[in-house]
Amino acid sequence: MVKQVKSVCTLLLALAMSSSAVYAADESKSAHAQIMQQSGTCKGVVVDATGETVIGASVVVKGTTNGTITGLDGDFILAGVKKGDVIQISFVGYETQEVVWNGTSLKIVLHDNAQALEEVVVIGYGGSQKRAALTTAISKVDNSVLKNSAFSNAGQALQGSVTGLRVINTSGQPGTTPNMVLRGGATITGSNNNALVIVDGIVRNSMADVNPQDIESIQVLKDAASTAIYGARANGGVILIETKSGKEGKATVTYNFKYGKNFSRKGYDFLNARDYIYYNRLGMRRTNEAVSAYNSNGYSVDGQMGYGIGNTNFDIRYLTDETSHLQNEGWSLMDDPYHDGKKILYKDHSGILDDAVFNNSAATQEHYLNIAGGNDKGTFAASFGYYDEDGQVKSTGFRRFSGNLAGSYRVLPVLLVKASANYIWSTTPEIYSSNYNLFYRTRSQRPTWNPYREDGSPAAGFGSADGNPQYWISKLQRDNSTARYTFSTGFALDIIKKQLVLNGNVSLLNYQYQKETFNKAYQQQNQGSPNTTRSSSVEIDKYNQLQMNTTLNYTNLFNGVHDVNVMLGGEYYTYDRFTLKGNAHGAPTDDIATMNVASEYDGISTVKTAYRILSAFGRAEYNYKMRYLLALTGRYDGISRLKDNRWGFFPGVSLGWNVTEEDFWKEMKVADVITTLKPRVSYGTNGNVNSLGDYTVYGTYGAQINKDFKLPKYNNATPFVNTGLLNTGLRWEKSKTFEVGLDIGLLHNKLSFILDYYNRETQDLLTSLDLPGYTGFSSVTTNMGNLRNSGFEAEIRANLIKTKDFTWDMTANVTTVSNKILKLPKNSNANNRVGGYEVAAGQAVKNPDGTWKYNTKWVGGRQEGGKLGEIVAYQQKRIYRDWDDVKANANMLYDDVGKLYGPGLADEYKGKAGYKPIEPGDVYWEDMDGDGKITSYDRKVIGNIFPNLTGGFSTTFGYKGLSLYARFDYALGHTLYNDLLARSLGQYQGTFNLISEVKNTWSEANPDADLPKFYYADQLAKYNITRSNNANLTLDNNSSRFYEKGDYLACREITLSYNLPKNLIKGAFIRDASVYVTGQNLFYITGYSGISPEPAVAGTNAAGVDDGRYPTPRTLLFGLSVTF
Amino acid sequence: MKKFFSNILFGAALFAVAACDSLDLQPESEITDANYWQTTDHFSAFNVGIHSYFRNYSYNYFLLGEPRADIYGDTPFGGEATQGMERFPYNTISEVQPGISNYAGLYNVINQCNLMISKTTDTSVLSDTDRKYFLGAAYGIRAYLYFHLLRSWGDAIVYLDYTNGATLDLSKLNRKQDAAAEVMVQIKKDIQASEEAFGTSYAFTKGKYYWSLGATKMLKGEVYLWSGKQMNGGSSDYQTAKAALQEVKNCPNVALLPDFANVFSFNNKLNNEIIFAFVSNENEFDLWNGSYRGNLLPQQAYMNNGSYYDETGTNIKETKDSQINGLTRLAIKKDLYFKLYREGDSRKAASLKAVYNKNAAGELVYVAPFAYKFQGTMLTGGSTRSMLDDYPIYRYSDCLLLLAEAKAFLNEDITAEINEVRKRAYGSNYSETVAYPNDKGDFYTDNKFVSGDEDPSEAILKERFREFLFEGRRWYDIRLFGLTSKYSTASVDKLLWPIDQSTLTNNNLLEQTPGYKD
Repeated sequence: MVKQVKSVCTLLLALAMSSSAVYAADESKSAHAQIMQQSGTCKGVVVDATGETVIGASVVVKGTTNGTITGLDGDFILAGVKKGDVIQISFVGYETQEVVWNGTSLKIVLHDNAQALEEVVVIGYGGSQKRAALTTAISKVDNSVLKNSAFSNAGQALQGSVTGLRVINTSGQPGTTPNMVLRGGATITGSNNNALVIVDGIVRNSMADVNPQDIESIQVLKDAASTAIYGARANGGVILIETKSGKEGKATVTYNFKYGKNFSRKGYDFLNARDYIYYNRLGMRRTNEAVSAYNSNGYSVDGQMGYGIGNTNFDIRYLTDETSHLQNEGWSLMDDPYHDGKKILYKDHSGILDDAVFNNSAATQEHYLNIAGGNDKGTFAASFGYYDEDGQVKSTGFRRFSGNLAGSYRVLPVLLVKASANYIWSTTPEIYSSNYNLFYRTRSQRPTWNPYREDGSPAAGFGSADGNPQYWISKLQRDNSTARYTFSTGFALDIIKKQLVLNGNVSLLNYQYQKETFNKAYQQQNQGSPNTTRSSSVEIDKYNQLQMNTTLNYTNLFNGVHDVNVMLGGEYYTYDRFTLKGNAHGAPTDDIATMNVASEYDGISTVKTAYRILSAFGRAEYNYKMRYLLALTGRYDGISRLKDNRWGFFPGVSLGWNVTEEDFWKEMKVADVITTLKPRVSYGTNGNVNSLGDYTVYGTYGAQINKDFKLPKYNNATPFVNTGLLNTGLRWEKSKTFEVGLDIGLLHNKLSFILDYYNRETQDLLTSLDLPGYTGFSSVTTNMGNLRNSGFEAEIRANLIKTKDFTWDMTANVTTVSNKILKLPKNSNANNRVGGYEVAAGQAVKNPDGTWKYNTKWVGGRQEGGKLGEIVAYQQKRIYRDWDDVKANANMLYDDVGKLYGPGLADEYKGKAGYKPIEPGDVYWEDMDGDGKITSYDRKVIGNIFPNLTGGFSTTFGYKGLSLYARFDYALGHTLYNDLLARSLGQYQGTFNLISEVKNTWSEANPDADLPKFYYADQLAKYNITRSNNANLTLDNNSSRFYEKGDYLACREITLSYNLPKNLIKGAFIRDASVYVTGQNLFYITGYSGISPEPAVAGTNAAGVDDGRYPTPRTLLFGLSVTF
Repeated sequence: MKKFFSNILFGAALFAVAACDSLDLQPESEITDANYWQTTDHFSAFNVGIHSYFRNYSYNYFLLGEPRADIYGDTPFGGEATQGMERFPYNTISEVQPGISNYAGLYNVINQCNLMISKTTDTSVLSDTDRKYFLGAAYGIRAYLYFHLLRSWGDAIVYLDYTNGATLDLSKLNRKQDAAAEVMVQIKKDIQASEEAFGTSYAFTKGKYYWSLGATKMLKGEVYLWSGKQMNGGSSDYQTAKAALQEVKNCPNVALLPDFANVFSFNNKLNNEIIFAFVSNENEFDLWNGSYRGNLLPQQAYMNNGSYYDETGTNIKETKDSQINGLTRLAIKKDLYFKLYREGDSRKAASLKAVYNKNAAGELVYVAPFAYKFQGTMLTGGSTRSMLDDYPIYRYSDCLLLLAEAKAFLNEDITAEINEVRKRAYGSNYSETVAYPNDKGDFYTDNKFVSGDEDPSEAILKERFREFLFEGRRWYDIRLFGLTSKYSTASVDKLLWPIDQSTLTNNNLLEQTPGYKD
């Protein structure tokens, strides 16, 4: 063993010597030169462009550890400097300067590097470029978005921060990854189109994988010419994140602390018990009157929970001799709107449940410690973070621990080795119920029900979603945790110093998710005995991802004008996943939640899947005097998920012209105004196969029919059927992006613009083609679709004011998206339409024989030439005011959708089962084809679920040490189906509490209302709201009244911060200290009446439907940041 | 330089490891087309798969066969919203609100049967016995499914190939319906193929949860009655039906149970009366995939709130029925409880249960009935009943009454069959007054559900109504006898089912069912 170690050491030594020998001549030469010089003391002062001294700037003799920092007057004294040494002066926020010391005092003027066009942009696989040399579309996120706010997920910081990237909060549940889609997405399904997230070169599942505080920079690669280097998986763009690393110079210790309160947004107000009883019993009376002609029994008013009388779980009684005493016990009296003359006693418990559901102010706290440093040999950075956010809903929240360690060491002058390890653990305490259940169902509990029992303990109610959450939280345990580890090692070997570098990296990502549930014994109030099933479940999901890549970089400047940079590389990627799921029940006691004490095991399943990607890639950049820029990129990828066509080539090319670098320009007067002018153009291809399962193309047999349905066992035997069609011919879907851009900098880039027009056409879309039902399969995946997204993006950054004491910066961005389906699988429908609805295309013509000739068209669904995300609904013109109105406009009207008839048709329909009369307060529907009937033809497109304009802006005012920062974002053009509003006002469920908007519905006293008369169960009454949707949670076919524009402007952050004066903190060895107050997600400016106007792109039930979402909270934070 | 080369070598080695064939991954948790159909186990598991898929649509077989008739349509006594289910008894289904979409999903099972038939026919790995069983079952199930399609939609696509990804031509997928007569021809062919495969093997080889020759014979009886009565087949078809039904007696251990309630008892599964049934099991399948509970049973909140009583005056809260937890969306007509069964008929208590209120004087006031044929079981630790009853598809009394139909259509005497069923139903209460053909008189005046024995057809229909409540028969029965106008709200031009819009869209050569066109 010892011998072996020794021989390995010898070998390493030999290798080291042999490679260092190459440079021996070089080094001895410079050593010789140094001896010739004399040491001295370099003095100087550092100021900024306004002449203000810069305190704390780092001054280092380049290539050595000899350094200092500037003092209170910006001055420095550095001993041991030789004439001719290069002095490097750097400070955060300024461009690093290098000057050669000639023995005299130095006055160094540092220039801001905040201007957009001067920034350095990371381009993947170790490459970076100055914005000035960039020819593609890459957005760099302004780091101030990450600085002050507290984020459970770094993705939240990107809302409105990145041109072209639409970031939408899908839930206010802390820890939720927002939906992030670049330029409207490149898939036709609207799913599997998230951007590829890469953190320090490692492909990540989402931005949940990184502590936002560890982030040094975020960049978004948008056009295909830039993303082509990530080839096959970069269809949705690439988010490149780099974490903080150590830098040469003095070690720093930074500690950040944040503490805040979250305030919940609850949405609509619900009725108190009196109004609840009044409206529901009135609605029941109206519905029974409407169906009385064929249903003499009617619906049972007193069979209803909550407002019916007879169920003693609810505090509602008829006034009788026996009950009248209740008036002295806190009960109130009201007239019965159902039975004329009767009186009702009730007790009001409204509002109590809200307090049981919501945290009035939940706490958020975050600690972050970062230690970094380095010298000419090596660097290191270590960090530790803790984040804890309580949700607005009690017992929900998010907690995260993270640790990061990264180091590099120059083992040999030509060999740099790097290693890093990262650990991030999080848990998302969740409750037994879905958001929909909480924000609609639980909040809608009947206010005649007391959520607490006499002894003060929470009451179970009638189900976990129909009870007091405090009861259920204690009974239904839900625990989860996610741990992610990465280990990465790599090296950079200078084969020819600063010209030819070989890099190698190996990284391993290990993901482990664990979820356990246990139901203790519980008893619902409507059940006679407790449920002691005590079921438990476990789920473990693990994957290992291994990435190995090598790249060879060549850089050279020929003749001082031809700047060439070439990179070639290869990568092998493996992904192996294992999931375990198990269920059991029958534990003898509530005390043990784990399955070891269960008496019955209900099933266990393990599943393994895997895929591999093998790639070769390259990139070449060339510029001539920074005037003419050219970049070529290409990647060749093969993936195991495909079979016959598994290899794909994804090239990109881009060109740019820095007009302002031209001599002729520099001579022009305009050169003082327009300091940067760079038109650029790019074209490239990306791929995507995310929507395919690991083995789906191979034709599968098993029990899993589709994502949502697995064939159950049959008498305990495992079933197998053919679940997936053999489909080995599938190819990569490819998106081709053409992009034209213009970078403009005015007045030494005080004002800069980055403008882009993009046109992305995705071809060979992996589109599922709905098959005719007789084939026994609902759909097959094809490569037969083309989709085009095009739009305009603009980013503006302005340094509006910059004086000694006062600064004002502003950034703004805007993105437009419009999509068009160009091609779909041929299915012999017109426009190869899939789905959709046939509706009127203009007026129908009456034939002489009295029949109608209809002129129709198809809308919605997907069709060539059409758009994604269209909403189809019935158009409400208004509400019938009174009988005169009904007789004047609907006398002979037959409504086939609601089976309703006008007064003039009573002879034909009255008494027929299911047919009801049109009455005042019902909706006056638009008869699109004018045939005097309301049918399924009388629908139209009334909006789109996607916004077509998104963006954001931010502004920073600074006065001395004070700064005020504000960030906003907006989205325009999307429509939401307000299902919660419809569900409540339609009383679809039958007995739940109603939102207070019911007071604005039509009544004799309110004939001009634009909300129809309130009925019990709209889907049994007049279909004034749900129409042919039949009260389902789906997007289309409801009344237009319940679709609302979601346009909004959100105030994401306002921060007031104060940098403590340097002279104050210097004594405490503190380099930098600041305190701040931040308000997060403060308000929306919107016309939308629901809880959150953000597009429902990832609704739990259906896209575009607002079914009661967990909204983001308002947060108020206090923060402290200290750097030693 | 050595280091450089060693790195180059490292890089090269890396790619050698990751050579192209490393992209050919063998799945570990799934089996793919290239590896299936290699062993008997594959075929056996596929046979299980077909049955599981077949059972998955059991609620649809009920929907197609029953709710459009005159059983349901009142408002639920518990006050539930009927959520569109009222459209069946009201017969207001349409293209936009079809009640059932995509041909009830039956082609999903048909396609798997087609695949099974094709692979079983071609393979050499199976023993002759196995091959015959698998073929007999697959043909039988396919015929059963097409028979639903035929009765419900009339014209229907006859699809006998399996959908093969390798040869799928996406541009030629649209197909017209085949004429109902051709569908019937195919059903008969499949029945014949099933019979031939089974040969004389009446044994329940894989148990009564799996298709058998007995099931095929039952189906054959139904099919030939339909083709005789509804498709002009006439007496030769009736003869065929009669013969097939008589052969059911060849099945081992098939007979009427002495006690009607016992046929459906949770503790008496797979009893002698059963010829073919869908199994329900814990953690596997609830009756109709939960839809029995979700449509025909009352809410526990009402059963438990103290205001309802059973016929003896006992508060339901105190009885085991307080464990029932459902939703009533198909509410049984209130007067059916008194009008369907005669005094002494044990089927009443084994099919229906009534709930009562008490009035101010403390007297019981009838409220409404609910379904009581399948009563589920209380699992250990549970607080509500789990509906784990099996769903009988064919049972022996069906055989007797179908046989009676065949005989009635042939103008033969039906007394023996009818009275065998009645004897069992009335038990010790059986007497000449309820025996065929004497069951008539006052009970049947002003009775819109059932009629006296004067007409043999009415006698059979009545007996089937009483016998097969909730077993998905009534609508098909009144259609067979042509009595939909008398026993349902359906208009005569809308006895078939509409095709939903999405199905029409996905196959634009389909034509909407007559009666539902604009």
